[in-house]
Amino acid sequence: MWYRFVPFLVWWPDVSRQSLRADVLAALTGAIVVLPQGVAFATIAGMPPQYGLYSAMAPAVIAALFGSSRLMTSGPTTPASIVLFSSLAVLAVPGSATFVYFALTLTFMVGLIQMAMGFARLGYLVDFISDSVIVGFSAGAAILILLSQTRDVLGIDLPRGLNVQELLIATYERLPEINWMSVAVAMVSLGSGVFAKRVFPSVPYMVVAMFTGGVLALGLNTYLFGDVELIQLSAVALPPLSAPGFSFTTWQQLAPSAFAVTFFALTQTISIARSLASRTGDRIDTNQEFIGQGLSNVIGSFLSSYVSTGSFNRSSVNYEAGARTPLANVFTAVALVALLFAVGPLLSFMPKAATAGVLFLVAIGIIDTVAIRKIFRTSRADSVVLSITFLATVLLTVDFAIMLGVLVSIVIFLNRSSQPMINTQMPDPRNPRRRFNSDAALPECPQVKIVQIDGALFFGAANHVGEQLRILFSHSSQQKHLLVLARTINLIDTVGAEVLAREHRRRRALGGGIYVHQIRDKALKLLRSTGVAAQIGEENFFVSKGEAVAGIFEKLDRKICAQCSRRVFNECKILPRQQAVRSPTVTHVSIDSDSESTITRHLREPAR
Amino acid sequence: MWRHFLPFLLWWPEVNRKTLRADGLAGLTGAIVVLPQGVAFATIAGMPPEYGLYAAMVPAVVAALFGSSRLLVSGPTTAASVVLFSTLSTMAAPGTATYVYFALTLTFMVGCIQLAMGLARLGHLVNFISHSVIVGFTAGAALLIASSQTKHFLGIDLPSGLQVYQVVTGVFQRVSQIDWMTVLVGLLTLGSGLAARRWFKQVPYMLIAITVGTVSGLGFNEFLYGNVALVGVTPEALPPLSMPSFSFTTWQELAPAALAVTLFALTEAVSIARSLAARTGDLIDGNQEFIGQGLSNMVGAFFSGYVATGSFNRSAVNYEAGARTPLSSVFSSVLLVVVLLAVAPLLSYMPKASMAGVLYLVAVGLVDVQQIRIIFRASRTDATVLAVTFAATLLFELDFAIMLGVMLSLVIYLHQASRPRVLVRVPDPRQPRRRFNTDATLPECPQMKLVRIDGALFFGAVNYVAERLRVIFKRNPEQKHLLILARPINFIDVAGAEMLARENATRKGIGGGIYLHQLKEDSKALLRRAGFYDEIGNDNFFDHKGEAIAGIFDKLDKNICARCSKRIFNECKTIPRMSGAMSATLREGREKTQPRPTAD
Repeated sequence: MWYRFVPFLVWWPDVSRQSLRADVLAALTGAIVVLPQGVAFATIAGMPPQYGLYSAMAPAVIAALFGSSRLMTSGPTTPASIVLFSSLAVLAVPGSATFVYFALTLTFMVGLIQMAMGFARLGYLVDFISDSVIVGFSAGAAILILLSQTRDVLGIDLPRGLNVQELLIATYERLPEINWMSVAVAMVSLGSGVFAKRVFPSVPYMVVAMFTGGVLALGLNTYLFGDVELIQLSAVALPPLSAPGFSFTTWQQLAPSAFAVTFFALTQTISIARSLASRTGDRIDTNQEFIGQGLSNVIGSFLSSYVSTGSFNRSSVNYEAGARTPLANVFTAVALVALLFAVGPLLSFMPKAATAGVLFLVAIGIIDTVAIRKIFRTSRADSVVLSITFLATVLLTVDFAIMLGVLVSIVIFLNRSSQPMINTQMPDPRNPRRRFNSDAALPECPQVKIVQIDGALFFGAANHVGEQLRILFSHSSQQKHLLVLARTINLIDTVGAEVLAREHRRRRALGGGIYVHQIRDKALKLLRSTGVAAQIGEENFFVSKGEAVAGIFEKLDRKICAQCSRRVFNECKILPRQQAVRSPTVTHVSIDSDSESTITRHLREPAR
Repeated sequence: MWRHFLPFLLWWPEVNRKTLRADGLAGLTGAIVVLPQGVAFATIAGMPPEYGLYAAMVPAVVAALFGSSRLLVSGPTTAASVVLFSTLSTMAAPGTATYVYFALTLTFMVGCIQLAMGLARLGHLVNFISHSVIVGFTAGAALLIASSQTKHFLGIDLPSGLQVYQVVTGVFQRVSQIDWMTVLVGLLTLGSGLAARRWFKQVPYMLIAITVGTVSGLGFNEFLYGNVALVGVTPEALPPLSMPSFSFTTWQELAPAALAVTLFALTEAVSIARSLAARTGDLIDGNQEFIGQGLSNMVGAFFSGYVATGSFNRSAVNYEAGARTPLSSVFSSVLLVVVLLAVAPLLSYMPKASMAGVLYLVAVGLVDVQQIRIIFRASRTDATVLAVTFAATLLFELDFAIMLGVMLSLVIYLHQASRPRVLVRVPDPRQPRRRFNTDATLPECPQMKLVRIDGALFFGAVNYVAERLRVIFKRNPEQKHLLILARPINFIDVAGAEMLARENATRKGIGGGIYLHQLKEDSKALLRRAGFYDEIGNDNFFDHKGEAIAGIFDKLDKNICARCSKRIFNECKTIPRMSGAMSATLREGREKTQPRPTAD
């Protein structure tokens, strides 16, 4: 338990002069990368730009020290920013003091929820957010970012917080007002960003793009009397103290958004931490990660930071720059403060259009076309989930979109598992061990049905399975004996047990019964405690196929066997064959049951 | 498609003089049984008593003609009545005209939802209401019914719509008001009902109980100057025409309740239809049943019928009375009208206490003690669901209780499904055919791990399984090859496919790989579409254990094999043994004793 509160003691002994050196170097790179990102993501979130930088300071340090991942870098990120923006834009004007106040309060709430979930060990809940939801949401978020930046690219004045249709209409109406210099700055920063990304992958492309955009705008504004709008950045190097709201009504208002943001922040963080850990071979403790993230947001909200989550690209940069311990993230925050002292004044020359150009790049980058193509090719169910999440993200609210995506994917899974496949199996004479096979061309014993149930026998599937078994029986009521191959039944609950019992009663009434092969121990225990095992009869549970077939074989009607031409089991061979001509002799084909079972045992022996 | 709208054409040709006679007799029995039940259930629902009878007329006929079950009898039932009561009593005073108006509107809405669900073929949705939820809910409903009747039984004045604990405290505060004659009437009803149920099984016990109660109540009031309260019902024989509301605000208000009632009404109808069909051997089309029930409620709402669902005990009576076709339900309704014409005036003498006594009997019958015992003995999760649903029924509104129970059972299922067992398997030399077994004492191949994954590889389970595989790998990094016994993996989605691909990439990177034994064809097809099949390699999919082991065996590092002392596969015997510590002579001696190589 102690390590929940001081997880850094786990890696502290690993710190050495070498690791310190590596971490400091990685931190310098990290600080340079986060500078433009912080400004850009704060813009997405509708926050004044400096808040993006503040969010990369205190929260990043806390998350690094109290989380479980060694290399993950936390701070402002695109998805958290867009969720924050879309849930707060309806409550306050983006960029205003009220908006900032709401954002800080939301951050505090998110932190609390995250910590609570971590302590309650609910970490595994994020497992239920499927990749298709994340991919669909990211694509939708990209569209939202593109749309939200049109205003700055075109240099026109649009009200904030419009939905997609309204935004398109408003933009169309204001087309004549376009500021072509803004457009030029945006295009240049976009172009130089693309160029830098391709030609100089070692230099952070965002820095290049912002720099060229900034220089161009300065030139245009100074020499050509342009009016390219600049960001209002009052860069204070150290984050000022702040206070989230504690009023009940505010909390009530923000609660749904807080849950949505939490949900998404955690998913993102955990998936990044996992993918980093899979490269480095570390272990991720999801619950510890929740606690670290929660703490970082709770404290961050007092130090002018908005929701911080794990950042995928900064974490990769950190990893590739050779970071060794979470200290790298601590150094990054320090280096960022130093950097701000140095270049802070320059930042206020940055044009909004340049940021917008950079964000276009970000947006395009988060559309995972490879994954989208793969999902559409692979699975219709996942494609549906992806499409619904995407559409809901663009057309409805972001927080609702995620919930909807999760719900749809769960419903599809439930629907699927409520209809397990039931296939008839036959011993395959072509196989050396007469393995069971579902080849419909093979003959079936006229008295025994062998089925495999591919799924859990839980309440959701019970009716389907019961109905299917009943239909099977009504199609071939001669097959009074039913052998269930239970090795694929991973779970049985009381309702599922009742299905088996009912099927058994139905068959027992007609002189048949149910036989169960290779049932799982846990399921057998449940059948015993519900009394179903006693109804079916303990002797009708088998572990090996040979025993099962032999056991059922003894109960078969020898009159039918005598006329049967299929003879699908090894045991059938001991019976005298008799053609389907009905003759009174059939009646005296009876075998002494003792001698018969010795024969069958003898027949089975060599097969082992 | 025509079958959906005229399903009675399916059984119509079978009607003949014999079935008509049988159905007529069954119909008569049914009419006698439904008479007391209708009044009783309407009382539960907070409706004027005659509405219970109306609900047994038109809706029963429509449901019989348009449903898929041959013997299911629809009409007023306890469960639907109690849900209706608990959702509507917060909006209007039970028994008032507004209340009736709301109830009819709700009925119409329920019908619409049922019909829509049937046409959209959502019939299997009811499967997700687990049995434990139903058992827990019914037990809770029994308590609610009993507590709502207490005031009539004791003859005291309590507001309706109270929680159970409020009723208990209310009764204690009003002990002095208890009217002992009323209590006596109630007890007589209760006693005669119990006696009838035990000793005169052919006669509906409710009829006897009510007759005894009515006669005693009448006697007390006439001769002992008692004032036992009477139901005061004056039913008309034919259901009066009625009109549900079509106002948007009313619909909005009633929507959650309508959904809850629908869910429960359908579960009840479908499960009864199924259990009847199981006895008669008929097939039930769940969606057709939805359509029939939906139509019956939509039409019923215009004929003063409140929510009708399948009734378990009346269906059973119908079956045992020898009904052959749905016409028995039609006859039963017609005969109910006739019976009503004869006895309607008598009904107004029925004491409320005797009604309460009958409902106590109904309530006790609802608590399925046997099932509860089985569930509590068998499974902790099912027991939890049952207990939570039961508690929620008493503490919250009924619709919320059902939803809560359903959600909880789904969450528990999802929890289980998201943590499939990942079992390490080893060939067991003690078993015939060296069957795989999970036994930590048996030796493992130092280069290959065998695991069985007991469940679907869907997005919810992927991280759990990946983590388990990672731990396994970390403990034995020497075991580069991973054979997954995939038979219990019933399906794979994109996330699952990606996980397999990732595991494969990790192991390929160090010269190992993953191999899959008996993966389902569907899953293979999905891997193919995702492009992972070739990544893993066609040669790494096997159908037989022998082939799988032989295939992987070829890829093992023979240097390690030579030094290995475990030799757990048949194939291992082909490799000359060489141990660092062992002397050459010893090795020679061993080699001689090694038998022939087996190509299994």
